Amino acid sequence: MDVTIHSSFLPHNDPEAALGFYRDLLGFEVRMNVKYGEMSWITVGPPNQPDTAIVLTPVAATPGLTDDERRTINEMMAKGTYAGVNLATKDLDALFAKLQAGNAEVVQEPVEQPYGVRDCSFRDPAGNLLRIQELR
Amino acid sequence: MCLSLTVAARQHLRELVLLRRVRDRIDREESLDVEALARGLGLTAGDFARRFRLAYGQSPHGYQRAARAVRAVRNREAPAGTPKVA
Repeated sequence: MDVTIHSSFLPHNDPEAALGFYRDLLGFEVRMNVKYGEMSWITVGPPNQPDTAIVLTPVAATPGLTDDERRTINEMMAKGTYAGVNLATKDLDALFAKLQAGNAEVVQEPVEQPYGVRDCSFRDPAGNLLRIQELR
Repeated sequence: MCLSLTVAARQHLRELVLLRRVRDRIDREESLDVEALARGLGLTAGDFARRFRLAYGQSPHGYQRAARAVRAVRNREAPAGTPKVA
């Protein structure tokens, strides 16, 4: 069997803010932007990794949720307990500096973790946690 | 999406975002100064602790203890170089 991870999902609640972060700040390319009413599904990914993508999804706005579930998802996103992703880069310090200069919400500056990884973390505009570790 | 939320709901979500930033700070700092964290939000210590508990299910100190315990287990059991969950 030859299976790869093709795309995964992160919630967003503001397409312009999501594009400002993933495209303009992180440097991801926008591979698709599907709109329906107020909702946008935005497929983004790193230029050097064409086969893997993140689909930024308007989770709380999609049909099939009760009002309570919608409220809970919005609250968990705001609280920062809903979703996240781990990224990696060779030059952690340069990426950290770029995101910080772009006023991204810093969670943790680059540190050596006890388990042998050097990483930093940010929140994206929707409250998702992005851990970024150094490739070495 | 956001446009359809009531003013009160938007205000509630904004407060949760502020509490999230405090919680992230608790996660990264060694000490926990509830008075200082409350001042940063323009709240009394008691009011801050009450709102934190409503949002996260436990007091700031309780949260910090629980989060540290989870991190300690994760750090002990994770082989070096393995990608970590948040």
